[in-house]
Amino acid sequence: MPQCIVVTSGKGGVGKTTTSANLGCGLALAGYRVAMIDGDIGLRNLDLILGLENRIVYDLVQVIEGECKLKQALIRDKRVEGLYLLPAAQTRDKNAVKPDDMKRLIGELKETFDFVIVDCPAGIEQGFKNSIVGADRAIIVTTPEVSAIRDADRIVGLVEAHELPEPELIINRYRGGMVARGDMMNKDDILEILAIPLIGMVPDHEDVIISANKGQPAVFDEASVVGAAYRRITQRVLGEDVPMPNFDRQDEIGFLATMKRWMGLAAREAV
Amino acid sequence: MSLPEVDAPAPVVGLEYSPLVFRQEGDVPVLIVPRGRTFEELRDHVRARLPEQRDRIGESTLRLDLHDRPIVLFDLRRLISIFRDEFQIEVTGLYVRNDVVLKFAERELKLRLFVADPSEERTEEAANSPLSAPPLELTALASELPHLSAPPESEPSPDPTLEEETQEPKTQVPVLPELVVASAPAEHATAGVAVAAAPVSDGSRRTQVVQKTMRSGSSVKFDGDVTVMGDVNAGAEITAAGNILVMGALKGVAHAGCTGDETATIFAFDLKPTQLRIGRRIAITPPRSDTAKVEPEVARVQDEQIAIEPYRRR
Repeated sequence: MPQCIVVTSGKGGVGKTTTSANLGCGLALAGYRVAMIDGDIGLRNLDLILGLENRIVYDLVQVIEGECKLKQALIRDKRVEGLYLLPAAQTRDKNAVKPDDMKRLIGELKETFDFVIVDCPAGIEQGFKNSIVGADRAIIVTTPEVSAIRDADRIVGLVEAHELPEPELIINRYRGGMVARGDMMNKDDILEILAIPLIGMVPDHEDVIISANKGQPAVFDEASVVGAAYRRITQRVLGEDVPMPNFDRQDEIGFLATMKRWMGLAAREAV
Repeated sequence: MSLPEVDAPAPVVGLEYSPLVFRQEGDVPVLIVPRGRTFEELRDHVRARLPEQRDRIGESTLRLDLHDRPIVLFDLRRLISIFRDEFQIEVTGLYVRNDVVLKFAERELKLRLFVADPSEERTEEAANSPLSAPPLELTALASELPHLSAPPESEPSPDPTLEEETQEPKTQVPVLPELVVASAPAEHATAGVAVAAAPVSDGSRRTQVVQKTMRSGSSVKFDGDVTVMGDVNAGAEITAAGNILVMGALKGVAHAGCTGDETATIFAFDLKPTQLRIGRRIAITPPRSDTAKVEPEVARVQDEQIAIEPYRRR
């Protein structure tokens, strides 16, 4: 049964695009046919994260306006079988697309693909409405910050208003060391506020920035802790029960850890 | 697949069946341009409906009332040529409220311009009745403007080869440049990219000069050459029927010879485009090391593919 998943957050900069890219690639690596749609018209990024920016000829708006065929605009990712990107237009704005257009487009994609991943733009306006309209399932990305969580809470309400099933949560940029020291909200605090099922946690790690700069999502990197987190998320999206590792590292507190940090010996993400 | 509405707040009239609406301004007929959803729909509608109402336009001249319809200059020019080429009707004036059209129409379209009174609220039904107040005349005929009427001889060219070219095609090309300048959001459409349209008056080629760096999301379309005095950042696009010359770094997408001219070239002081297109060919430049020498380069079609080479004076 083909499925359209929207990745959304409300707040910007929490990692929607990174999550979309890794989830899309992860599902393709698992053998599914995946189409990724960049819903952020005017501020497109997904093509960069996937390293496909120089292969764009046609975009989503041109498909909707009938300037080209859907097939022509889909960019095949050569790294993995069955992965395609439908890029956003950079020179247009969100109002160039109407929810009905998106719904029709996603319906058309679902005839050929197992998964359609929509990378939703920040905000709750036209871009959000366009992204959510064709979705069967929503994944909400948040970071352990009060502002991101408040926005995520708003989005949970809006997703429910669109009569989608209960959204699932990804906590991104989680810093175990800070949580252990009591400087960051922990997983349970966040889940108590949002009260939706947790589908994954991704540690804050420089791999994310490195992979974005290279245009190679971390999920391809077997050695990366971030890649491992996204592979687990992919499995959970597919319905497998994968245990959640404990990110709240106690070893980052105390005298020794402080000395290690001073000497620059601590793990990269534990600042 | 149905097309998206451009004109959000207004109710979309069933374009397919509605006749064209005219009003009379003195003895000049004025066509109220239908609220088309796209240019293509508008064009098809005019083609379908104008023949049966051809007698409404006696003298074969017509003014167009665009009011605040979202039509870009590029499409407006195409519309005007349809009237001229297919119906032998000369469009002599425009009623506009669109700032972009206003900004460029006077010098690009050489048409008489009128401003529709912004205070007046007009619905589709009310549009059937003639305007009570005469329109405010905004500008003189474009031909009276000094920068357009300046004879080519007044600009002596130091380059002898250029002067040779100016001798040959004396006939003024009737085709006016297609010009669409838009930044991403609608409210920036007027202020988006500062473009100084500087028509080269040698009668052979026209050049669009962009006098600042083009940032991500900005685009320029032009049916002549395009010169950018600045950088073209990644995410910006230039589409030109002729050559593209970037006096800075070209990192965005450049499409030269977009109407099929494969002799068109793309020049930049620092050529690092996301993608190059010449005519129907598309090329991606291989990644280069940051330490590589930066020198002016030119891309052109050679042996059926786009090739880049250092620029040499000829």
